Amino acid sequence: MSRKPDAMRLLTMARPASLDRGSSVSADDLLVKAAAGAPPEPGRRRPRLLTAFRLASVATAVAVAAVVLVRSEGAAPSLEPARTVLLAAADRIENANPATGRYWHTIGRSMAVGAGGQAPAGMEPRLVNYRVTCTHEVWMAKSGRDPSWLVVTAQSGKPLTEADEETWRRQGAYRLGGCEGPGVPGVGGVTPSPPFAVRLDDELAPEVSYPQVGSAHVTTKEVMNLPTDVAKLRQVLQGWTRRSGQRADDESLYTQATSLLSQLPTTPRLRAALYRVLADLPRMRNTGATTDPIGRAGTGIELSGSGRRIVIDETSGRLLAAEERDARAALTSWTALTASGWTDARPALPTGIIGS
Amino acid sequence: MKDVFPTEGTGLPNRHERFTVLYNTYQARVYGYAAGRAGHQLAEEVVSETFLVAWRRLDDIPDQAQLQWLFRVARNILRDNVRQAARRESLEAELRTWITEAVADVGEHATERLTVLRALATLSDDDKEILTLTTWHGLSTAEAAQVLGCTRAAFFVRLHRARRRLQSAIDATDTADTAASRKPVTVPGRGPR
Repeated sequence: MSRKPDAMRLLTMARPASLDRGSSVSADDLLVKAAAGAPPEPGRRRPRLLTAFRLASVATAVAVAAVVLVRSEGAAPSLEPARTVLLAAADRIENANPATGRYWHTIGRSMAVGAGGQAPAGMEPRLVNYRVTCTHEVWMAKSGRDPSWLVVTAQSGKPLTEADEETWRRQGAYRLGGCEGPGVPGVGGVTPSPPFAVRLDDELAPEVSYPQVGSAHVTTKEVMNLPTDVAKLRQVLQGWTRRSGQRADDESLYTQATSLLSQLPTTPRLRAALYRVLADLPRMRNTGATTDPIGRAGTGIELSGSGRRIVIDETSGRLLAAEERDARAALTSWTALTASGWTDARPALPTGIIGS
Repeated sequence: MKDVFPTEGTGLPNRHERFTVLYNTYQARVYGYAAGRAGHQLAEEVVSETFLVAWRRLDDIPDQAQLQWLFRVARNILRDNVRQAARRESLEAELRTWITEAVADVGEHATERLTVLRALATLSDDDKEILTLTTWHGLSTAEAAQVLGCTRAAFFVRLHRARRRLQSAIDATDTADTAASRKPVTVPGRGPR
């Protein structure tokens, strides 16, 4: 094959005709559903996967509810309501030292189960289920003059089952790794082997580097300017969700509050207000004394039916970890914070750097 | 590609009609984009969710950039409302279907189409998206940059890199094919070509 046809022309020619299929739902059907506030239902073909996710969440709800039931039948039924625990944590945090510094610095570990696949050229990649773990540091600069960073200090991954391992080996046993725990700034694409640093809050690449709070990308400045009045805070957070085109609900508030509490620069008063936003969610449940994924004792507070839980240290009010579980209550991802706070230090960056 | 702005200057009286025109004009394009990013299994619901957002925010959609706005919403939905593992799984299945179809294809340039699809399948998700925005979804580079939320210059850099990786994947496939002296390709359930 000596001739070299242009790759983009080849790709244009290879466009699958099925891409033009179009949706089977009419504009009117969609509007009827919009008015009814229900998710749309296409004519004959029911939507498959997204619906499957919703069913999965319901399944999670059932599984989690069952676990709680068993637990409350067996154990002493003297657990304080989640609201009481969260409000007490808020009160404790509120009076902490309000001093800030040059950087908000957090150190954490994360785990995630996922699936993906790559294969040598010419081979169709098959999906490999994997488990990745990561140790990371986040350095969010208070001032826009200092660069913000995600520093990945350790990363590893392996195929989940023997069958996955076999597929993975056949596909070249490529390096598995990723930081995909809840609230960890995502690292997309191919990454170098650790340690490496990824530029965050970079106005030249907002889509990939701005902190993500729930579904919205925001700037550190927006985070720093969040109101500490609970009602106003909730309004701004709901506004962010809507700005990104999503429905604002309990789950969006939960996700936003946990990612703000776990990764982003906050004052004690804002952290207290975030706990109060969580306390107001009717679905929050106290699951009692527990240990976080790295074995530290704490109290588990879950958003019932979502498979999501935070573990907090009641004495200090500190957030220890955020966890996500599947329908069988198995952990699918978690992030545990081992340190967080303001510092005037600057990060010592490794040589591998992604971003400007 | 020049887009017509269906509601501009038409003096259409109400939201309902404006929405219907918008939907009928663009739903298939949004569907194609969603199917290219997440397979047909997910595309239908992504289209519905995208246009529900459009209905709620009809007045926010810029007249001059309706399609880009819709693609961006669909992109956010694919990123935030869909579990990434499931999206990748669905897309992998879709890619396998396309490759199977290309294997069965005896039309003009069938071999090249098969080669490029196989090469595309080996690339990262980001590369797949960048490469197909302009070749499959009919966007200009400026429009594609808007969809990705980056500058046109940044888009060109990313496109250039992705294109280079696609070319080397094609070359690798070609070499492998030549080395195997064009052994018949076997596809499960289809037997030798």
